[in-house]
Amino acid sequence: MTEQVFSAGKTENVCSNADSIDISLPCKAEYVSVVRLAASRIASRVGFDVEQMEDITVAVSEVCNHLVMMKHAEGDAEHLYSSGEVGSGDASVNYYKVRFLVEKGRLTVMFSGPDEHGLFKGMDEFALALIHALMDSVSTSDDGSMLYMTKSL
Amino acid sequence: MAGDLQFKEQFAEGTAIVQLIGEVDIMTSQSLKEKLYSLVDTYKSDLKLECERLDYIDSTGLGVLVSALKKAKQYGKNIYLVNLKDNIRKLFVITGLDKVFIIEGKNND
Repeated sequence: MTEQVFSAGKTENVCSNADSIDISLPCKAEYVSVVRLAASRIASRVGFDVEQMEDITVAVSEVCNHLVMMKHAEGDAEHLYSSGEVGSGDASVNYYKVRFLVEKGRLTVMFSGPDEHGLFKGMDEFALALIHALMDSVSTSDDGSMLYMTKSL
Repeated sequence: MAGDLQFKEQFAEGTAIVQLIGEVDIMTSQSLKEKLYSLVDTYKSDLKLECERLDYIDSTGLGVLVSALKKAKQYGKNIYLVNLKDNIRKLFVITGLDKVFIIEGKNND
């Protein structure tokens, strides 16, 4: 499923020379920090300063939080915090995908959720405020199933 | 330490003081909520959060702080945020919460 999520048609605004880094994660709270660390290191590779790296890290983390909580708001709360279940490979846990597209002086981060809902649907107002303030641009695909964020040097 | 949050608390001069050490995120915000609610209910005093060693907070943490403030207000008390790091204070400014909480300390007075 996730292999088809970031189809070529969805990335037409991104330079074809971009390096692409994909991370697929279980919809579990304990893995959000993994994306946060990855975002920080990738932002560093692009050349962002410490404050910009922090901006990107916070924005990425907010979307991941939302994707995890959105999944568990659908009646699957027992998996939101799954201490002791790490590595269980529980087939009932859905996945979301984060793609980092690295270009010269620019980073685009794309998200696809485990479901076909609009990714802004029900997002916390603080999270929305942070994402829009910290990134240069934030948008969703026409069908609302993907979210894109960009920040440039 | 990523994803870890520790508390050091004391009660002095009529105020409950808790030092936040680490990160408040989706994994740790629930423990912060339990800690703050417990302090508010126990002491029914102003609550001072010492944040010099708080490295990160996300919207789930901000939400917990707001709900704890509402609880403190029920007792006519306040929450003070002391020595916020610049990266965290920035989030309070963006969300407008710098006008809701009493922020004290370096660059905040």
